[in-house]
Amino acid sequence: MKSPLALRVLGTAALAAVVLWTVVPLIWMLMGSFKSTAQVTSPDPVFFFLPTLENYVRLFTGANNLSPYLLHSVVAAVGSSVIATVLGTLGGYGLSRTKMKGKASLSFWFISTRMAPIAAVVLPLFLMFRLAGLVDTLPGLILAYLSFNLPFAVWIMSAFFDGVPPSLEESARVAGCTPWQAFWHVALPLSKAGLVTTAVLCLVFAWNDYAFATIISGPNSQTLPIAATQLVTQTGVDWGQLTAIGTIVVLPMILAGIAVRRWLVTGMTLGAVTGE
Amino acid sequence: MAGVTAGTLLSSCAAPRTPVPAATGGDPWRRFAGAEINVISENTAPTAAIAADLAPFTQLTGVKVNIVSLELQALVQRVALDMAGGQAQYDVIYADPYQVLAPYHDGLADLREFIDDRTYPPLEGGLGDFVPTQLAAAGSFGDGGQVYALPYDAPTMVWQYRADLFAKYRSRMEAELGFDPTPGPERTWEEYRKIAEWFNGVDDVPYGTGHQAKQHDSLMCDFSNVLWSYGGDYFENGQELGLKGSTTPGRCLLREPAAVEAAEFYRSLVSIAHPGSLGWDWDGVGTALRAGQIAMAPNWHEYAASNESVLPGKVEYAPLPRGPHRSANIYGGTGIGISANSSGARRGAAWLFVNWATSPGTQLSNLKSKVGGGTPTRNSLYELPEAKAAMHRPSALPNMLTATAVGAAWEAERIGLRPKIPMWNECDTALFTELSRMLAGQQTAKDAMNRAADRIDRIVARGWAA
Repeated sequence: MKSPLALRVLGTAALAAVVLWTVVPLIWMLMGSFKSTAQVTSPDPVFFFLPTLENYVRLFTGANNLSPYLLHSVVAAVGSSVIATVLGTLGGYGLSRTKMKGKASLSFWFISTRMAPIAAVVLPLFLMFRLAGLVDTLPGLILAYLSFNLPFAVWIMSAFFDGVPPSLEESARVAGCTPWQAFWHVALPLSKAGLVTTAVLCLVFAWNDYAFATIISGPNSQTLPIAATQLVTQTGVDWGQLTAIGTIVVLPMILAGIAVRRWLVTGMTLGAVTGE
Repeated sequence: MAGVTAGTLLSSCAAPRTPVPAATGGDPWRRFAGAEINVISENTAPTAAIAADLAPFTQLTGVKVNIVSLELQALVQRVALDMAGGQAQYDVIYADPYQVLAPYHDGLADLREFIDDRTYPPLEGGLGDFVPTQLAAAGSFGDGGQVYALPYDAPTMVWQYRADLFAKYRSRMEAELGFDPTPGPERTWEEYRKIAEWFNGVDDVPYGTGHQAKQHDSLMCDFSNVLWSYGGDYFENGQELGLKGSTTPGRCLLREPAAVEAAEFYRSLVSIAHPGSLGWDWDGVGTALRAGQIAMAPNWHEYAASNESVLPGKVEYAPLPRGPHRSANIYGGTGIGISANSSGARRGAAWLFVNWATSPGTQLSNLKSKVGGGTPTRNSLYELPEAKAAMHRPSALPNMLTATAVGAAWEAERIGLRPKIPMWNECDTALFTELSRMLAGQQTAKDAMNRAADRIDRIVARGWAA
């Protein structure tokens, strides 16, 4: 059934407004990163300018060279996402396929660990990490992100595996597959959208994290969000470099999102379709 | 968090930790060659300058330095956790007098241990070379004579004004206002208000004055100048409390008539200021001045370099106006100290860094740094011909253009010192929240002061255990 023209126009206008609301700040940030200091701090908005790489050059050659921060961010975010996705997939599959009493409660308990504000867990986590010698180390940071990402990965992957009919794996078992082969060759490929969604969401959380990094990291493990705060100084904000860091932080996540958008959309909507 | 921190703090720093030289030799600067230390600092101009060029220190000492610079709240959080852990991830600590020194001074080493030790390189010029009010305010706590930190930066609020506009309109203003409008310590806050109102009527700038009246620490800073100049204060013996510090400051004095009068005046001043004032902190005011939105403002003097780059030759500086009692210029400086938990070669190397970073030579280099600046905390530096020359235009060190104004502001009778008490952060929040409600027209000046005093008394009554 076709919707009335007015309704479609209204819908398109609403969508356009949302896109503008979302995209304009990002475009403004991107533009700011290519402006000179005078242009970026000008009280009148500067729309036309000769692009300069000055802010990026300063970021990678200045007092606080960004390279180690970037490396730490990549290692901590990718490392924790990969581990969370692998373990979350195995845990989620087990949770989905195991018949046991209190399974729903167990599943809820997993996700409930995500409900605590980071501020509430960061102090005990710091003290434990201190005892274990994990403060100011990349493994420590990966572990800290896992504490939040793993329960989420288990819970979301469990929901995805619930959407895969067990009869398919049973057929594979009848055809001679081992349980592992049934999981690897049947259930896992059918949950590709879930895998991608989980990995991307874990990556975004770890990549953008400031709360854990500000407490757990140190001179040897500081990440990009920490570098961004260093540009807010006692005597002003270096907006040029800040927009450049913002671009460096945002761009990989946008590119990752675009690269996997097909699976991401499927993954995000799977629960809605299956009524999960 | 504070409780946990405080509880474990004392046990962790009970015994002095004697530095063990990593290397021996004739040069005392090379005693700890090969050591590696971590420095934590707020994102300040001197730290930016030092971080940009650590080579001189490394060449001098052979010590590797890792600098972590953070915004102040994140720094306080990390320092508190670090001290609570009983180890020293950070050896050198940027010790804000109100948020680090006052609450956590037991976690800092007494620097006399190093200053009096002849095996270390001597502190050039001795403690007497530091501006005395700064050394007391940023370096000490209590009556014990301990030196927990050496003055490292010294932002102080002064009157910043568009000298070009004052020069252009001086005669007209004098004729219309009935007094010489030239900014200086002889001007009163009432005159400041009249000058601001006068500028509201000219075309050159939209508004005469701007204020950092956002619901933020900046509002307390801006208001305090007026409070003290009107004879009000936060606690009894406020100046002494600001210099020495205490954990038991007594009853809050904001209910007193002088404080209420100051609040009433401040409300009237902000009411004629640029409307953006209610959303500005110090950075907002600085930006507004440079953007030609206001003709004058009280602000931290370290904005001079930025002012000079945008409005070369157009901004001048003077001590803040006086009230019925005095002229008061709030001090926002900080020292650097050493974690009491730092041990072995790192402890000794940390002292070498503190000694070097606060030395006149390094402070002069910071002034010259393209990424730094700041303001020297050493008297001797202000006597150098190079520094003296920079106090006048054309100036190679633009922050030195404020030297006369801040020099006057740092005198004992003009300096404005917040209460150096461990619970100041909470008191500050109580105060700026009530002031903000007053500025929004939600309560009278008297109610604002009474409510702030009630809240502060409750906070202080809870006490502080460290």
